[in-house]
Amino acid sequence: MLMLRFLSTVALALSLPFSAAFAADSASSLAAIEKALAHPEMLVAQFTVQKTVPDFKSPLTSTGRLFLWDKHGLFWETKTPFSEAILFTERGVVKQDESGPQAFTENPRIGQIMQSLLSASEQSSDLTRQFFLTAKSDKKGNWSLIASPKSDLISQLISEIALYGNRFIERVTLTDVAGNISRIAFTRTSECTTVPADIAPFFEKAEAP
Amino acid sequence: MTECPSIFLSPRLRLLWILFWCLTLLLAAFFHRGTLIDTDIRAMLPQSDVTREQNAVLSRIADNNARDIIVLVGGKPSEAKAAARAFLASVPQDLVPKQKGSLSLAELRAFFLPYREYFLSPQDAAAADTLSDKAILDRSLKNLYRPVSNSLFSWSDDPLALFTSALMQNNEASRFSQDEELLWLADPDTPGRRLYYLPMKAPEALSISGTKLTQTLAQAKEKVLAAHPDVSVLIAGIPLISEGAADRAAHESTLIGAVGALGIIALTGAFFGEFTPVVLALLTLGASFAFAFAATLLLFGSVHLLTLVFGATLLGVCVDYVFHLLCATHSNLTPQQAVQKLSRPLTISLLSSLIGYALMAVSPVAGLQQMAFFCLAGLVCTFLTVLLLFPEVTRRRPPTRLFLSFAQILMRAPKIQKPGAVAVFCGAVALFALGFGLQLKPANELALLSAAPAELLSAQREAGKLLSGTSPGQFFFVNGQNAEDLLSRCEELVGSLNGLVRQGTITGYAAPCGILPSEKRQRANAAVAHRLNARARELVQRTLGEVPTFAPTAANPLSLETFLDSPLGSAMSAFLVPQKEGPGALVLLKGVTAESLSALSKLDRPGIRFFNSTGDVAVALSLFRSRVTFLVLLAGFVCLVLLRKNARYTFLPALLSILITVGVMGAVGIPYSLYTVLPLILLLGLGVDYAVLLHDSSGKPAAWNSVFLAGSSTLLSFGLLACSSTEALHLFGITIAVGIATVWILTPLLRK
Repeated sequence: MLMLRFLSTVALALSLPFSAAFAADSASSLAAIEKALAHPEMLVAQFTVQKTVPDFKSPLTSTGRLFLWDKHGLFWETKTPFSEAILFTERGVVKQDESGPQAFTENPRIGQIMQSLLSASEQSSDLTRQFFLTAKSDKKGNWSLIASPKSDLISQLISEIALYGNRFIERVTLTDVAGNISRIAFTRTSECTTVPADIAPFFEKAEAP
Repeated sequence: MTECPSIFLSPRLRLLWILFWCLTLLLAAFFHRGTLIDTDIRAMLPQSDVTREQNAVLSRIADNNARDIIVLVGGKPSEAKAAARAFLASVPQDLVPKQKGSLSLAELRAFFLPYREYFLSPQDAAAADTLSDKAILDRSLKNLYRPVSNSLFSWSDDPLALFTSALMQNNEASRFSQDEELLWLADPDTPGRRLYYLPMKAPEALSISGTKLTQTLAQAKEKVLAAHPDVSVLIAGIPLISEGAADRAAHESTLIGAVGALGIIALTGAFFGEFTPVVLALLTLGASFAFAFAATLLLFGSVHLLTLVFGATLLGVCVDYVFHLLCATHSNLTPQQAVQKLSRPLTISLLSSLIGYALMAVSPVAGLQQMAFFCLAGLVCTFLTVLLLFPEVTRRRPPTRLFLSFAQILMRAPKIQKPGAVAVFCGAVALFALGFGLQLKPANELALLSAAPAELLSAQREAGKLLSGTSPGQFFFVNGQNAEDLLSRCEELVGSLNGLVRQGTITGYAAPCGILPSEKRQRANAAVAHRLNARARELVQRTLGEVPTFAPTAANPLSLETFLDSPLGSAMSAFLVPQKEGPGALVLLKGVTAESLSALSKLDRPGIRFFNSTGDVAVALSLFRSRVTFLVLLAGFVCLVLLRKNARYTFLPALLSILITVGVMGAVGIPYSLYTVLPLILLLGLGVDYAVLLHDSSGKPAAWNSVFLAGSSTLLSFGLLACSSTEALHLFGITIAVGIATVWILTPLLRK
């Protein structure tokens, strides 16, 4: 069990930047955020991650796109400085390799991330129990949410998560215990009604029996 | 010529017996500690020679699972989670294992940092030589740019996250997700559903504050389902199976005992027409049951509930002696004359029954051993009590009218006398036995021993399937002269097991060398990891123009002793089994099927031993069944030789009864198993017993009545045993019941 908890902790680290994005639950300001947020079934966006690592002088920048299909999963594709496409679902992950999308069910923990990214689904309220929250919002619908981990488990990995947005989440700043800071900016966020053709095989693979 | 007085009339022997009886009960009362009645079904399961040798290994496996209860709450995420929490709140908190404090990642980092390069997953080790610079750079950059690193260490210390990959491989945790304090896994059958996993530990004694565990959990389930009707709750575990089996056994022993006793009271009262024989019969049976209980307690430490179920049939056999003596005293014989007359046939009868039970006692089934000893002790007690004490407490009685008229009816029973007719009858029976006996199909004795309710076994299978648990019945035991030897052998075995996993022969395994490699393997890992990490840093430096410093690696690999002191030491110690000759460890298997056993047994070699405990036991039982079959034939031959002068009247009825019983078994589909062969020995004893009594006193009403009463009470007891829900006891009871009924008919039919 000790080993299990440890490994769960390690794996949780992978999911935190996303799950934390839903750390919106308690007070009335949170209700305002919930109200302001769009609840699309499908959503597509571009992202830029700027990561500051204490041992590196220059920030590390990566870019790509994401596609969210509510209750089905999140597709996260890094395009620069390297290529990587991963679909996270509750049952596991699907990664791209030479022969196409491949399902890896051995690590489904990662699937708990992002099922409802940029939408406020039923899972968000569960995840928020893990954080102390400070929320602010203005009349224009802009809002910010600062989340600090409550549990020992998460606090050993993450110091703070800050989210900023309006109708969609626009920025996430994530600070880990080692002092690394990742600033994720989402742009060109829009709702859509169909799964992009190049992403569809990933979902097909994930949902195959 | 005057007959020598029977030794059973000796007052000294009588006194000695009373003292011995009292002493046995007193010793049991004074020296017994702990559980009086054992309800754990596992205590009755058989041991093969192999499993007995390696008891420590099996104990480790059994102890690991013995008290585990699994609760899986399934449903949509939020509802299932709420239901899981409600379930936890509804059960007594001593069932819920205390959460260990969160593991300190800082401590883990500090411990493993110097040893990080000594760990490498098999996949990384295999790919190391073919990894291109581009692949190394890609993987390094992915780890570096990831918003939250998946490595335990800083990027510069583990740029390719090799240590984390090694740690994550082959571990049970990889299937679970953590949601606050709860663990869950995705429902494999329904996308979007989660199964929240609530591990629990049963207390040492199976009931909690007077409420049975099964009932406690069922109440919690009911409560949760009332509040969350859309969730499913699956509850499984060995303690629940034990409790279910014990419940059934308790119910059956009470029923068989009560109905048997009532039957005997009714039979005795109706037959002798007075109260004293009833009291004598009940007192004798009570004394015998108490003696058998005390003697079993002294020898085995506790009496199992299933022994009491089987022991309840003892009433029917023991009361035979009481009937024989009472019938004699109700035929104008003084008690002393009755003892004088009956001591020889009753001694033969006792010996023949003892042989039957003695065979049961040497079987490799712990349960049968205890049952046999219980019956041996009870029979001997009744025999001695009847012959030594009855002359003091009974007196000569004139036969009642009912007694005489019933005997007259019995004596008018038809008989076959002409040798030709007897030969035709024997031929017909032989043909019947041969025709249907050949249709007998052997059964798995181990499966027949299960007394657990089917729904609990089904829940256990379902939970095992969902959780991909390791098999408690099949596993490898690896040992070595020292820790390095042990881990090297473990790696050798794991290499072969990986092949079987790829072929789909098994679905996985859990091995100690998956947690800590041998020092030889660690050195090889370090050489590869060091080279890959250096190359990764170099390539990233070329790309980004800078690379931070990194922590040095320990000069020597991590030893088993040091690892056991680490924060993850408990994960390793769960596999270890201390041995006199050196360290030993278990390698547990997942997804073992009947088809995989052959491939697994081929991996057996010095220092690596495959255990198929259920298979070993099943083989031992089937071998024992063959031996008992041979013994039935041998016992038949011995009886024939001993009774050769009057074999036509004293042996033939028992022989034909056995043949008819075998034919009936084949005709109605009763399997050929240890539990149907062992009764044949008892049947031979009882059949010969009745025939000898009838033959010796042919024409006398007392003999007819005593044989009728003895047969009736035996039939009643074993008939009740045939109603047992434990398949083994059911088969035992039904075989004896069919046999005794046949003896009952054939003995008068073939009389002189």
